[in-house]
Amino acid sequence: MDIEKIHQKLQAHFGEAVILGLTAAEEGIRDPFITVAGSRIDKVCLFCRVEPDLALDFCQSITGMDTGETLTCVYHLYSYSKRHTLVLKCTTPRSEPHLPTCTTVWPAADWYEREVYDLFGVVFDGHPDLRRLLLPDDWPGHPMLKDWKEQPFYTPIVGPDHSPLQLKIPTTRENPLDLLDTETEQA
Amino acid sequence: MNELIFSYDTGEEMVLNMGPHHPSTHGVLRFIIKTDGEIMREATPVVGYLHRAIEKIAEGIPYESLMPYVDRIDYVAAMTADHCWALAVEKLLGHEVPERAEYLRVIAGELNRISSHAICVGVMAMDIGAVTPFPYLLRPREAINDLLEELCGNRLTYNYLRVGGVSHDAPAGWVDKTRKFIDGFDNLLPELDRLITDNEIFIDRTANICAVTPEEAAAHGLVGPNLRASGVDFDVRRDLPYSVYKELDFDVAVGSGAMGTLGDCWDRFWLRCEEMKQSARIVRQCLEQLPEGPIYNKPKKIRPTGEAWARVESARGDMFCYVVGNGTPQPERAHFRTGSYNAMQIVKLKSRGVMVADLVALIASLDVIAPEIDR
Repeated sequence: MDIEKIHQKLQAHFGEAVILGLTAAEEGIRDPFITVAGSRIDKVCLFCRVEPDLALDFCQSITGMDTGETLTCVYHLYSYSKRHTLVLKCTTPRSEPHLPTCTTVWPAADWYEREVYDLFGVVFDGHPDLRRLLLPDDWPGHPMLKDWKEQPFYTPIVGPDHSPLQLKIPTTRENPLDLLDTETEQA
Repeated sequence: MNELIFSYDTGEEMVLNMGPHHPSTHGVLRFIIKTDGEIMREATPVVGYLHRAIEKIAEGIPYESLMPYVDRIDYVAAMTADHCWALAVEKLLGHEVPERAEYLRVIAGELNRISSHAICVGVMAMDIGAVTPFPYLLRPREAINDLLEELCGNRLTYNYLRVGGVSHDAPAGWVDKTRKFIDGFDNLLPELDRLITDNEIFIDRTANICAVTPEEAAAHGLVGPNLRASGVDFDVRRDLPYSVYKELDFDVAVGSGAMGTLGDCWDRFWLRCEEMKQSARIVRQCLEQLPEGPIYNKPKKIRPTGEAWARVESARGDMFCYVVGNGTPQPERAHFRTGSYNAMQIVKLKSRGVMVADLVALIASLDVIAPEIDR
């Protein structure tokens, strides 16, 4: 099933208040996607999985993106039986990023959502075990946000009695991202 | 941390730490294991020890400069990881790749798949207690490393692919040398079957262990060999063909539960042996069809807008890359989802109620590579 038909089907079931629009491949975008209202993303995902015509049983990836005022979550889905792909996008305000969880739809979403929480700070309501995945538990901030800066000190290492060891290791090197001058482009 | 101290007050249950430095955890992996004697209640994976922030680095450097970093996502099969990134950027640019370069990519990728599976199969046998197959399989890996070194100068992290082609053409005599290697390799695989695959003790240790049903495999996002071992007939090379796979003739092996349950550790082991045979077949076809011509179509300017995703069949399964451009030489966002990441998630579910020694068989059969999880 191609993306226009999927879009029509979703819109017929959920209405325009939930299915916000289809960005087609022509508009400078190589792969089309459907924008969904963030608060209903779990319902849309569940429909995509159980509806026999869609049968999107493989959640390839859930990832975040820093889009300024909002944070965007991108869901890449694939169907093994129907052999079609669907890309869903939803946004959540940066000041209070909350989205419903999809772990009940695909168990694979567990770690995907933990990673998005870890790196972007999006809170997935209803997630059974929302902890940091890749970074240490005491890491301050969410480093994939565009305004994140490398800290002048590493977080002190916690000792066996849960007190911070009096060790502060300075990061004397400069932030490698600052070294790159984006103006020096070579055609 | 307190959880790690033996908790006598919970009756028979004991909480133990396995890893991060353990000989059979394939890199820096850690499990917190709840055991009741030899029976495991649960093994919770703790990942992130090899997190190198490749996605953050990608936002600061030009598209073509990320290639060496992508190598390090999967250092056992770096060629296929490179292919994923190259494919995603080329799709974003709408850029054409010369045909000879496509063939060289496939040859290098399939040779790399053979060497990666050789490591997986050998290490799995060694983890279970059969030491002989590992050095036995290191021989073809060594030969492949030599071939790839001759091709691109590196033995582990190749940095061979470029956006728009490959970095070096095959040197004189390389094609014949590779063909000779493949001929020898075809003889090795039946020997391997006699040595380990059909070995009764090995079958006893792996059949019916940690079987994954097709529904579980799809829902938990298992990909590649792990998915096919559970009976789902899907291969990116065949079903979403990229590069020149459309023109090649190969079979996709699917697990059948020949020695026990569908999707058990033996099925995953056997499937990788079959895949090595198919890869050898693909390499032979590519060497015969290898056309003459340019190997690198250098893009004038890599400053794309829009977004694209790419999927390749990496040695550890369907590798997914999502890239968003913003009109500057650096990507706005690059995301990788790899086979080991999903394989690691299912360990918690599948470790319930098995023996501690079977956890080692499970991890080895899922072919988990730690840097691929953490990126």
